[in-house]
This record gives sequence, C-alpha cells and structure tokens, in this order.
Amino acid sequence: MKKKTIASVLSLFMAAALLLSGCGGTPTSSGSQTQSQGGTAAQDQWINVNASLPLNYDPASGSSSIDLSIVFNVYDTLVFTEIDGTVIPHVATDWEVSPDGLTYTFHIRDDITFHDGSKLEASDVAFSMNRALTIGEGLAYLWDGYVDYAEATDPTTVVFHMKSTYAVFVSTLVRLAVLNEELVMANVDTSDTTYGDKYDYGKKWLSTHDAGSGPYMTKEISVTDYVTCERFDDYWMEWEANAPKGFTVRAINEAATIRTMMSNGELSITDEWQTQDTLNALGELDGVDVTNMYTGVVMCMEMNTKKAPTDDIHFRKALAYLFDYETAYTYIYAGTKKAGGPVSTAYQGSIADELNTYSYNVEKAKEELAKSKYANNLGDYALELHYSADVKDEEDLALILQSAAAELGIKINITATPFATLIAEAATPETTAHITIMAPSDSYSEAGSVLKLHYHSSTAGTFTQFEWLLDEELDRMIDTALAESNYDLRMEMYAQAQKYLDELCPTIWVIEQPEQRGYQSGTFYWPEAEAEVNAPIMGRSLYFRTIQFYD
Amino acid sequence: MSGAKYIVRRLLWSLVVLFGLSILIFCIARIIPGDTATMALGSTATEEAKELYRETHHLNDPFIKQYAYWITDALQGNFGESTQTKQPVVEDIKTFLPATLELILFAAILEIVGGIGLGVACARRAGGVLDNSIRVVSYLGIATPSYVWAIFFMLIFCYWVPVLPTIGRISASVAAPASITGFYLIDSLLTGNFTAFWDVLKHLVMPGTALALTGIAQSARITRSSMLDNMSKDFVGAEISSGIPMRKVMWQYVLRPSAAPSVSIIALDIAAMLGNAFVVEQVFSYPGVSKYCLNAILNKDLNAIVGVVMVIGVSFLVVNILVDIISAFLDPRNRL
Repeated sequence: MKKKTIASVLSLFMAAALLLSGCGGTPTSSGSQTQSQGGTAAQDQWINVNASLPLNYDPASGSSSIDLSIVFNVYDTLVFTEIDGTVIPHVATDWEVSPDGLTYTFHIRDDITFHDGSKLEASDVAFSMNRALTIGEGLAYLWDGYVDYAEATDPTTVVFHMKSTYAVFVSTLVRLAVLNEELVMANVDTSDTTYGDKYDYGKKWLSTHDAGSGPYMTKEISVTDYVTCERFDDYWMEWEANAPKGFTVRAINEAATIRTMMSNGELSITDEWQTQDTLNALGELDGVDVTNMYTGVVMCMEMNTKKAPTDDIHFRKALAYLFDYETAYTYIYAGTKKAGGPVSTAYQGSIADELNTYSYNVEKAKEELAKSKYANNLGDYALELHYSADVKDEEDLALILQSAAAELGIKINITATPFATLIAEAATPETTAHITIMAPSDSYSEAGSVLKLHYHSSTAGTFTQFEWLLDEELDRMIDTALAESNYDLRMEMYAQAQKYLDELCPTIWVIEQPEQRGYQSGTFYWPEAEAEVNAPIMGRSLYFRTIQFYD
Repeated sequence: MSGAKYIVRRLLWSLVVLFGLSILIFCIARIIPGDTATMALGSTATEEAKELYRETHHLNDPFIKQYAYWITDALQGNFGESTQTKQPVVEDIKTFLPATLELILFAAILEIVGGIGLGVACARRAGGVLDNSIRVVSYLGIATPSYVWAIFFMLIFCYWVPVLPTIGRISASVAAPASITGFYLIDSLLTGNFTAFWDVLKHLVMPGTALALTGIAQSARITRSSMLDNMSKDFVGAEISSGIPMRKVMWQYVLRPSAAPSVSIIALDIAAMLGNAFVVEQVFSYPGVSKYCLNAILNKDLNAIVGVVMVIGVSFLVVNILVDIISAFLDPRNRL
C-alpha cells in the first residue's frame, strides 16, 4: 500500500514534468521557451538585458545608466562617440563656432526620418534643447547656465546661443536626444500647465512612448518591469545582416535568477552591478564571458572635508596612505587597476598615471597623522563610513581601511546604507558621513566632466560629491578650463586642477572600476566588450546596432 | 447580537482602522530618507526643477495641509500620480494588483487543498509513516522561507530540468488575453484563449508553490491536531459504532468543526501573502503590486506607497471579516 502511494506520487510528478515539458520545450528546445521570455536564441537575433528599473523613458529626465543606454538606441543625437570616446558627426554634418564662442551653428542631415515617418528637421533639434533646459532634469545640468536657447534658422540649420563660453559644448551634445517636436506637442497633457503654454511638455506621454529616430523603436513598455524595442528598418544608417532585430530590458535583480537565465541562454547581457562571486560563476559558463570595459568609473572613498577629523588635510592623507590598494585590485575587484587620481585614465586630459601619489605606506601614514591637529586626541573620534547596501563588495573595501586604521588608533564604524539614505545624507555636511564609498559616472569624455560633476561647488549636496570641498580656487580652475577653447591649454588646465585636488586629498581614489557584465560571447560579437579602450560615457557601452550575431 | 448588526459594527470599526492606517502610512512614507523631489527628478536636476516639483506637489506645505489635500483626493478615488511610472497610482494598482491577486489565489488554492488534505490524511493515520513523514516535512516547510523555495524550484525546473518559464507572468510570444477581469487565467478562459491559459498557468506554478509551501505546512499541522482533538470526542465514537464509514465520518463530521482554526490561519496567511509576495515576485520578476510597492519604497514614491498600503490594509480587513463569517458558519459556537 505504501509502495503504491509512493509510486503514485512519483508517477504524478513525472507526468506533470512531461506535461509541462511537452508544451514548454525540452532542454534542447529551450530556445523557444527562452524566446518566449522576450527572445534570446541566436537565430532570433534578439538581445535580452537585465537592469534595475523603473525606467525614466523621457530623454530629458532619464539619468541612470540604463535610461541613457536606451536613449543611445532609440534616439539620435547631433554628435556621437566612437567606442573610444572620439566625438564624430551624427545628425549634424558639420558646425561652426563664432569667434566669441557664444554662438554654435550646426548643419544637419536632411535624410533622417523619425519612427513615425516624419522628417527630422533643425526645429526638432532646437525644440529638444529648449525643452531640456526648461524641464531642468536628467542631464540638463550639462547646459544649465551655459546655453541660453536654441533656434532653427532653416530646416537644416540650428543655432545655439550661449550665455557664456563653454568649450566642451560639442562633446556634451552626445547627450542631446533629438525629439519629434510635432509628435510630442500633439501628445501633451493639456490638464497639466506646469510649463505654461507647453502644458506638461509631453512628459507623461514620453514616459511610455518614444519620439525618436534612432536605430530601434519602442514596441512595448512597462517602466517598472520591461521595455521591448525592435529594429527600425528605415534607419538612415546601414544595417548589418546579423545585427540584433531588437532588444528587451527587464527588471531582474536576483543573482540566482540572473545566473539561471545566463546559463540557459535566456539572458544575453547582465547589468553591471553583479558581485564578484556572481561574475566569477558567470565566467565559468560555456559561451559566456565577463567584460572588463574601463568606462571612466573610479571607486572613491569620499571624505567629508567639513567634519572633524576628516576636515584636516593630514588626517585625510594618513587615511589615503593606510589603504591597501593592492588587496582591492588583486582580490576584491580582481583584475582591475589602481586609480592614480581623481580622473580615470579613460578621459582626455587625465594625469592619473603621472600622479599616483598615494599607495599603502604605514610609515607615511604615521608621519601625516603626526602633523594632524587631531594627532593627540584620536580616541575622541569615531569615523562613520557608509557604503551602498546594494553593492556588497564595497563592504570589503571598508573592512580593509577599518583594520589598517585600527592599528593607528583610528576607529571606523562601517554601515551599509540604502542608496536613498545616502542621497539624503549628502544634503548637508552635518548629515554626510566622514567617509562614503561611491563610484560616480560621467557624461562626456574630457576630464572636465569629472572635475565639474564631482568636485565643483555646484554639486555639493548631491550624491556626486560627499566631500563638500566648496573650494573657490578649484571652482575657478574648473570654470576657466571649461571655457578655454584651445584644446591643449584646456588639457593643461585640467592637469593643474587634478594636481591641486591630489594635494587636497579629499578622496581615496581606490580603483578604476571596469564595467563588468556577463554576456553570451559564444553567440554574438559585441564590439564594446572587446575594445581596448571604451568611451567614459555612461550608457554608451550598450549600443546594440553594431552587435553581430554569429552565423 | 444579530449577524447583520455584527457585520455593520465590524464595517464601521474597519473605517476607523483605515483612517488610522492612512494617517500612519502617510507619516511613515514621509519619514523614509531622501528628498522626495530629488528622488523623483534625480540628483542632477536643477534646483529650480526640484522647487517646481515641491510646489506642484504641495511638499512645502505643513504636514496637516498635505494630508488634507491627499485625503480629499483619495476619497474621490484619486491617489495621485506615481513618480516611477508617471501614471495615476489607481491605474498602476489596476495594472499590478490583479497579477498579485492571481498569484495569491493560486497559492491559496494550493494551501487549502494541500494543507487541509494533508492534515486530514495525517489525522486518519496518526502515528503512522505518512503522518510522521509529513510532520517532518511540514517542519521543513514552516522553517524554510519562500524565497529559498523559489530559488530551489528555479534551480530544478529552469536549470536542471528546464520545463517551466523562469520569469514573468506570460511569455512575450503569447498574446495576453483581452482584459476583462485583469486575471489572465480567468480572462483567457473567458475568451477561449487556451494557449494563454496554459502559458499563464506555467508561469504561476513556481511562484505560487513557493508562496504557499509555508502555509501548507502550517495548516496541515493545525488541521491534524484539531482533527485528532475532535476525533476523541464522544459523538465521533457514536458515529463510528453506528456503522458510518470512517471516510464519511472524517470528511463530513470531524473536518467541519476542525476546520475553523485552519480557516482562520489560512485566511490570515492569504492576507499576509499580499505583503510577503514581493520576495517571490522579485525572484521570478513577476509584475505584481508587491514588487511595485517595493520599488516605490526604494524610490520614495509617496503616492504609490500610500496607495498600495491602503489597498493591502483594505484586503486585510475584508479577509478578517470574511474569516469571522466563515468561522461562525463552520462552528456555531463562534456566533457570539
């Protein structure tokens, strides 16, 4: 009787499995099941990516890595960047700058159509810039205070009027997505008058639709769960035969789910936030590799310069000498490289290789500590070190510093902190921890991008700067450099600013953190993943048009 | 007290509880760290844009005034707009709630059938191999959280024997059924779309089972002990001695009074699933309201947080009232 019961249960289980497999596909046909999740099989030429959502789909509002990646695929921009970050014409064919540097005139192509079939004209470019400036969200900070307004003087000429000289303006235009003005304005929410006669400026509609002319167009979207885009066959640039027919970005955050989906081919490319353990496991799968794209991110331990004892320059230097960089780049983030200074070597104008001032040296740490005004009362202070609770590997970095500091009598308390809390803490010097671990990304490929976003006074109080430098001299150096139109002079000015920062030592520049993603290297060729140098532009690495599926 | 009066009194108390809950969650949502405007617009938004947002959303007003704005709108069915989706929260709830309810309903059926069925089976053969085996397994079920089951099932059915879909609610290659109730299973049956029905069912198997297992184990244990308690009563002995088959005695005369505690536990479990489903939804990337709420909390989406919590609160209250009514029906001693 008992045997009969067990046999019945087993039979039921087997029958259920067979029934399910009959309709779900056998292991060998998992491609069809896979494709049912949004397509992954090589023959479908479809790319599936996981990411942290919700998406901010309006290009004037989005600022996360995945938001910006999608902009590169769904919209066109006046200029574009090569894989290595070189700026090249795109929608614009050429441009001129007035002698006073206050007027930029761009001539644009006349053969580009939007996804709805209408023609892209200069007025659309002007509209996109004016809209971004008015809304003031996302990456508008790149132009806020520099650009006055834009206007179209004829269907193929757009003029930008500047408030002040801005030598890197052309480079920043890689972030200006060109919107279909007529389509956007036809879909404004007239019950919302936030922007006066522009109503809501199409924000609500653009949060779930695209108005672009890029290589892919939106097919389906749920901003909290997924977006599926398919190839725009009438795209003005050529399509290679084996280019992806589309892509799906899904909100999948669990490491176990990601590993399962990578192993059975359901996922093509992972996000860049996987732990080293997960990356190691992915790297061992057949046909899967892990990228090592240096996209300009420096893992930083940012020290609050307005709070004792990290307000003391010698105390900060002592901590910088106490950090064991080698353990960080050899074991915790294996295969990465030490950061030499505030600006990654991926940026034009970086002098990180030349600086490289701080390395693990206990004797020097002691010397600096002795010069500090807190040398005799270290016991009075307990440093708070906060890191993002979502990035588990950062805890190991914190522990390295904690143990080294303890040997010199410096107490460090480590706290895993939700990202939202970190942003809240950044609001005032009093609420900002003594040390915060952060790895900010930037928008264009010159050192000025990092210097402005990370160290200029205008960004104090945001998550891009926990140092609270508020240094007028540094601000002047950065502003002067960004206004300098002579390239060589500008690079020299960037170098001076980096040296100045190196001496101030507001940050422990830990490692240059590569963008590490698991991807199906046996299924497709991904140029960005295999390039020696990558553009230090957030989101640029996920450009799907140039991916090639193997036959 | 008559049944009708009792229900009316419970409903009135429920309104008071909901009012209290609305104040509580309204406060809690605003205590979550982070500047709401910054979380909504991004850290790099200009100060003018953030200030415009605060003004538009009354964030600069005193707290009581903010609450007054909110409750006035909420009473008209308007919970405001979500900063994540830029859509009205009510619309978001309409989109995501049916998915979670469908998942919970599926898990509830598993829990009722599995929990009570196993409980009865154990009670019939108390002390036997089946009873002891199920007892050990049920301890495992109670002690193991649903996310562990979720990952375990994924490992088996998506990796070792890939017969079930890993993520989502329906495959992209299968057209979703026309929305009638919002429940894909029901809608697909109503529209005769059996391909969608089968596909949706397969998507429910792993998350539903992972969500139900703890409850199955718990209700099996409670049903068993309650059954054993009732089986020792005189009326059962009288029924058996009068020749009524054991099977009939168990299912017809013992189960009914024994089911009341299990029903209470199962009902509360089902209500709690609304709050607990987020872990399973997260693992299986299931587009439900719990996952939506989790994202709302992480992004300080005030309107969405308050809206979803209110819906969960209403669900708890409704389930509690239903439990009382069902308990009274099952066991007349509860009709007090």
